[in-house]
Amino acid sequence: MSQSRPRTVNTQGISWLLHRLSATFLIVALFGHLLQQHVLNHAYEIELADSAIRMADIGYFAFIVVFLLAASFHGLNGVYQATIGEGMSGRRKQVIRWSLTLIGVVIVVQGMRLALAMGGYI
Amino acid sequence: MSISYDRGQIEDFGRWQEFAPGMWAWLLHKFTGWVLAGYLLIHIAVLSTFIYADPAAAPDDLYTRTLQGLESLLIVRIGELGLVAAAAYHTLNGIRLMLMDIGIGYNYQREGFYLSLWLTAIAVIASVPIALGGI
Repeated sequence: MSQSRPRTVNTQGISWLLHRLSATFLIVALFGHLLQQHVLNHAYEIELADSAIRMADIGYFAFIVVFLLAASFHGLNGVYQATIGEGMSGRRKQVIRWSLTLIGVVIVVQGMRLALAMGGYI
Repeated sequence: MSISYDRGQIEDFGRWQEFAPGMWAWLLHKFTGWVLAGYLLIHIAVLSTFIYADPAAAPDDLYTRTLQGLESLLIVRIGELGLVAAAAYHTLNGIRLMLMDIGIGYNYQREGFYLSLWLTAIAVIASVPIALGGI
């Protein structure tokens, strides 16, 4: 059994805390997002110009970036915690961990690329 | 630290009649979490058509055609209702779990789970006119 690197903080504790903090943010953000996109506006009427104008607002852009980061972390950390809960350990746990990290990087990079393009920043 | 419990083989669906409300709450929370995480991938992929859309072609551009084309399908609208159900349950049960973390409602876990189910049902029913509108 390999000896684990000494840590100055309990990363399991930080992961637990970030999961709850991101959950708290997502409850408010998701409600606002659904209200705006599905109640005040209708998804079936969305056009390219509407999305571009909305994302060009720096406040909305910043909200979407935080939303993207929170949703990606919460979703992938949730999947990771579920695999630990199922008793996943050792090499398989490491493979799951780094695979989910890679998926998270892809989601955030593509989401940022999309948000920047939509707002006309790139 | 997270604690692993021996819940036996949940894949053995023959045991479902033995499940206590707490098991259903746990199972539904995991299931809706997987659904929402999967939806995030699909959501980013669909919206990414914006990058390849030609604004000069609007409103006949790739982005608008993709979104409005998907929204014209009944199966997508029904899927969106399922998404509302998943998001509502995961949120409400998540609030219940976070309240328990700070010591609130520990003796009313079963009632909290049933309340989550009822409020999810109300959210889905209230969303039907919006989800099926304009189709």
